[in-house]
Amino acid sequence: MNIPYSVQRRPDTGVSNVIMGVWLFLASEVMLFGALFSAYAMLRVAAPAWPSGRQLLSLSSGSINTLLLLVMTGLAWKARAAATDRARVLLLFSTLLAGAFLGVKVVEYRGEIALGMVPALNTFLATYYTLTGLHALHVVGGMAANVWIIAGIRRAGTAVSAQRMEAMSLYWAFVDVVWIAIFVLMYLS
Amino acid sequence: MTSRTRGWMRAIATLLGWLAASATAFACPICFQSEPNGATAGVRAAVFVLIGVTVIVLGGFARFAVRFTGRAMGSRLELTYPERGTSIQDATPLRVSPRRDA
Repeated sequence: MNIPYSVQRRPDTGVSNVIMGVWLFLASEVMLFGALFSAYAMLRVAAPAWPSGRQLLSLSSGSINTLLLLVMTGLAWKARAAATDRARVLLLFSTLLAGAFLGVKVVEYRGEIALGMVPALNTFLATYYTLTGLHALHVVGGMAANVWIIAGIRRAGTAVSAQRMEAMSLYWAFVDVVWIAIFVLMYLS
Repeated sequence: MTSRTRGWMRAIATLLGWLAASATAFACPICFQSEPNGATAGVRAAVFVLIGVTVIVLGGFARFAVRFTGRAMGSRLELTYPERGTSIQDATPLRVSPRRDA
């Protein structure tokens, strides 16, 4: 059975079901991260003392990860307009960069834990691990979706794959925005 | 006693209980301006962040609604439903044509 408007845009709304669904999903994700940032604001303002992330965390790792995410999202956006084979390659590189992001994060976590900087040590580290951990889970989810798109790009056809890539590029842009907020709040302040 | 009467009685009892309770029962430290300390300042910051996030999300929905309204004003929808007994796949897709007076 073919579901109507899964590829072509609905004439009344101007968007396809896929894009509408992604926007609704992203709205719920904004609320999820919004609640966590709200908790962060409460804990930080209420705390008698708050450590400086610049002194505790590795600014170079955070900067490298920011760059990796931005390039990765740029590739995912370029894949939208590319031909099938080129889109596949771009999406593959994008996935590899997402993997590199996770690799840097794991190295960073290991270094911090080796120094005794565990979540139980203070509220700053508890919020740091919660926010960055949930963000990393989103990167893992995005990588899985990228792999699924790459694997099915020939079977699904150009039109369906283009929809999927458009949805993923929106998702990655959201993941970038969340990371930049985390980077500013945790690493730079 | 019918279920409708029971429903009314429950609603009235809730209203009476709400009216009978003193205002302080519903007090939140932000609205009632308790002594400023770290906790109240923290809760205030959290509330402002959540309000900001909610405004962003609702603003996005409002933008969608305005966009749809604009499209509806500029076009005329022709809806066709499937005959009884036929599947949704047999339905003619939605068509939008420009308004005659537009």
